[in-house]
Amino acid sequence: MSETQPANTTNGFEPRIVAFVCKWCTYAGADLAGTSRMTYAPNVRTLMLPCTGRIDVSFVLRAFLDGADGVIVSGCHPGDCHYTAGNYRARRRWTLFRDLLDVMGFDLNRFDLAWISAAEGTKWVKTIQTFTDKIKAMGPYEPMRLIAKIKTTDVAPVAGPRAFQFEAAPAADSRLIAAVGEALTGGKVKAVVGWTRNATLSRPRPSWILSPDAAGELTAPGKSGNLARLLKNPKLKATLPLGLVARRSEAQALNVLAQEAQVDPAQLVLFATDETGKFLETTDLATATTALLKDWPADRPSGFSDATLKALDEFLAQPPAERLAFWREQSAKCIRCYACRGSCPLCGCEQCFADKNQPQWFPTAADGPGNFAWHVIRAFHLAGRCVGCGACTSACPAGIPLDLLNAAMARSALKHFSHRSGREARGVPLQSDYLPADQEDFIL
Amino acid sequence: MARIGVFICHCGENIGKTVDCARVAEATRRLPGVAHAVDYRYTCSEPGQAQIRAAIKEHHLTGVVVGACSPRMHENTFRKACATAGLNPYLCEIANLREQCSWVHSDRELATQKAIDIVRSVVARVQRNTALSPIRVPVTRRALVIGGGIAGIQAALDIADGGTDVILVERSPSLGGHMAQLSETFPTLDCSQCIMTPRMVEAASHPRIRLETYSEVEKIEGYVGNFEVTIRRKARSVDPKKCTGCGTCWQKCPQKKLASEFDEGLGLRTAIGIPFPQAVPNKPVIDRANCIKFKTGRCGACQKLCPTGAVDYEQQDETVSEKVGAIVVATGFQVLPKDQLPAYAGGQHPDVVTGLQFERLASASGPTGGEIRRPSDGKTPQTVVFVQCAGSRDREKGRAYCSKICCMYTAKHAMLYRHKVHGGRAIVLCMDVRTPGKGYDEFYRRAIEQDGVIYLRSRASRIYSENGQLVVQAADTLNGGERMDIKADMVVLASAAIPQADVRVMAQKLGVGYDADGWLSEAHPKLRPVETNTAGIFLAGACQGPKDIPETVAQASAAAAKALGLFANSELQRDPVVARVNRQPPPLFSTCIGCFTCAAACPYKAIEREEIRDRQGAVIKRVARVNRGLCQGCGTCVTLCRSKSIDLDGFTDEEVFSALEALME
Repeated sequence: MSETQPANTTNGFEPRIVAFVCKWCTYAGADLAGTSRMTYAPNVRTLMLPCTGRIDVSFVLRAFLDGADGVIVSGCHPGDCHYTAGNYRARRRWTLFRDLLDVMGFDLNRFDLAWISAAEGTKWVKTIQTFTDKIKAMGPYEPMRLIAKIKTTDVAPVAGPRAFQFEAAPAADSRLIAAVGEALTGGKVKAVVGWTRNATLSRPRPSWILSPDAAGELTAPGKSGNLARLLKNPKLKATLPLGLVARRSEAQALNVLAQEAQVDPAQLVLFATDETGKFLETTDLATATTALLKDWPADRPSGFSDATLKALDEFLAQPPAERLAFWREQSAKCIRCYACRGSCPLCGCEQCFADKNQPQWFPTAADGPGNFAWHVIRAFHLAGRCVGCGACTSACPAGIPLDLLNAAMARSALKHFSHRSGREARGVPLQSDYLPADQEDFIL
Repeated sequence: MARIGVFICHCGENIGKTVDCARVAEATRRLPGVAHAVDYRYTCSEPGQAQIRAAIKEHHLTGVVVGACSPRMHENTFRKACATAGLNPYLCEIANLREQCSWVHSDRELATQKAIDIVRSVVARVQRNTALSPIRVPVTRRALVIGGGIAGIQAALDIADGGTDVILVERSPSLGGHMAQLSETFPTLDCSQCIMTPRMVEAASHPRIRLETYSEVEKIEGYVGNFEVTIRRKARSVDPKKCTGCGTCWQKCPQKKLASEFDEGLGLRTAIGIPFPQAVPNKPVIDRANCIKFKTGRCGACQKLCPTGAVDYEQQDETVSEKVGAIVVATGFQVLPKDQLPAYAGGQHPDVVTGLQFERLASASGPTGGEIRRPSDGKTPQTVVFVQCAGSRDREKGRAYCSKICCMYTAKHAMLYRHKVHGGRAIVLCMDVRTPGKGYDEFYRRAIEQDGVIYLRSRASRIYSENGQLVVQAADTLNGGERMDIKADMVVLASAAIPQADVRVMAQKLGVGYDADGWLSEAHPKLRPVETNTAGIFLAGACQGPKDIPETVAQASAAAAKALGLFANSELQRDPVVARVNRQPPPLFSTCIGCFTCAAACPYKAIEREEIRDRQGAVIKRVARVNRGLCQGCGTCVTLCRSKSIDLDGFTDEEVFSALEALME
């Protein structure tokens, strides 16, 4: 071996490569390569699924965390899917997921996607051989090994309690109080969700009131949080018709919830306010959305501030290895309190995937790689849904900048699919939908 | 504790030459859960299978892994062997050691190592497998055919002749569809009515076919083998049981000046009547929108004069509900309306007619008795210009496809015209001529060579009228696009075939897909051309795309064969690899929160909304439910489910994760 050769291309290194393939096209194509007695590197381990539509992003993540040096996903060419459109939906999913992996600092060279038909034994061989050679040259995926070794004890605990806001919250706009009182008196709504005084902290907190007398307790909005999260409460969900004090972020979240059949817009009355809590009008969801979003620039992802987007740009300017190191550190800080989940208006599952233990997707308790996976999957579950209210970031006691991930996903949705979440109560969810013309320049 | 049996096949030399099978068996034997591991020369042979069967009994195996060729080769063989020995076949999995290991690698050590990894992964997976049994779906032996044109009639007759009852629904008052409107048919020039009307009568008189004319399909529920169809019978205002079809009513009807739909607006009809003389059934309907009695309350002539008292002004629509096992959709097409072609006079000039209108002019039973007379003044046109691709193959106007039938029918029209008007000039303007088909090109050559039809390779850009003279402006595409202005007495447009106006509504009722143009989608463009993605619903004829009569009839017979194949069994057995939404004890009921992200993505509309109610009937929760009759097992829903409440039997998350984990050990 020549001394000039980098150490990682030594003959000793046999990369571990996992391929997730569909049953109808790629698996049959790989069989054809065998029947035709072609040869390729033996590093690949193939897992067959019925369709690329079934290939979950967490399979890929898990493969990396379990020590894969490279992952490849392959299925039928567009238009050839045995199930009509599983590959189209998969393509949309991978577009978003690649952008997420990118912001997390993954090396995208280690994650390839290819359309390989049942007739393309040659393409299978070429794809696998090229990929194996590439990964061999790149060497073991050491940064990912470090992720797998994160220890939450490696990092000092978060310094001190965060500064609480002790000054009393100012009362709500008197016109809002009047409008809410009127709606409750007249029976237009049975309950109203709004900000009220927190007895201990003085800080405004989301709550709901049932009587017109309580309208006086409403305060100006808190600095963070999204009132729509209270709709996760089944009792409140059943108290219809329901009124909500709504800023832009609340209206947007309600639209996503309506799109996902969690709330019926016909049963909602919105007390629209601006960001400072100034009362605008009592109206329905659609009208409030139009009014509150009318000045939102068309080229900016839903709900995200300039500051967040700028922070994202700056973050993405760093090399991938540093990005990965950053999230490794953040994952070590995470205590898995799930405040991010609780504060999010859209994280509404009664049983979160993270709480499921058969199979145990990722460790539930605070644990390095489990934390890392939690943040990847959480952000991915919000891709095409997050309205950028920032409640998760504000709620995080460890100060993890979750909105960077959310903003990256929102930007990806806008860039690739012209999708901005929370703008209407109808329509097909982004990841359930597809267009045959969706971009695919990253697929081999 | 799992007791897995592992059988490593040498496949003669095929695997054994590259993979050390004994070492694979040896390494596997030490894995947790493995009770028995052996290697054998030919596991698929009868002694090999006997070995598996014996081991299942001897070692009380709870799962079997066969390391052999691709599952696409012998999965069935081994699963059957397991079933014979009393082990659920879905507890047997194949590790592909041949096509994806021994045949593609040469390094014995690395190939053996890979084989060990593969087997270890499958062993881990099979421990998580659950016993599945085939889904049995009962079949109602009765078919519904929607559409009474040639496609629907052919499908209905074939199914009925095969011994199954058929309900044939047609929304207009008579069977026949477009084919009944045609004068002659290519490439034989035999009279359309002469071949069509006997088929119509045959369908109407078939003991196994029930006709529902002037009726529409209102709702379709259920799934393959078990559809529940609601049919609306529109009020005819005539009792078909009493009516003898004598014709007194329409002869005496004072409202005689209505444009006949059957004659494409070129002839007249009465407010009560049959659409054309050979209509089946030969029972009139009252066009209530134009009937004097319905509009003003006066008249009532038909009721007074009807010798059998069949006219009933009070008749109401009625709905009937029917159970059927299969559905053939044969809803046909329509011709692009002239007003959608503004450059071609936009329907403003009476002597610019569509191909279908020309059929009526050339038909012996048409408004001119088969003489070619132009609509404006009834004169015989001396020059007729035929414009091909009127709306077809025009991406700019939104229809990029070729309507397929126009080249042939234009040749036919030009021939018919030359046969009927001996001194007349027939000029065809065409981009090119496409005549694949038996006897088709010969037919087109005959139009040129024997009947003197003039074909000009060109593109008509505009049709206008100058001092009462129709002019077709065209670019001569063989001569640098030079402008031609051709004076014409009549212009026939080969208007594009387009989907029925309400095709999307119909597709949504059926739960079948349609393409960007609105043609109904077949399940696979090559291998499943008559099936739809919804099991038990088949396509016939031009609803799936433009087609001529022979193709339509062939597809209709194919659809009938598919339906009969379904009816050949009293119940269907389906692969149990389908999705399932979890169920939990109350108060959770299911971890599903009813966001229906899955339902929005399901290509088979297999995910339904289920309402969980308390004893008082109040809704506690709405959750997704998989219709096992419809689900095809792609697993798209599973991936989209955030709470992992839906899973795919045979490819559960648990199975995939254990396989992956074991692979990465």
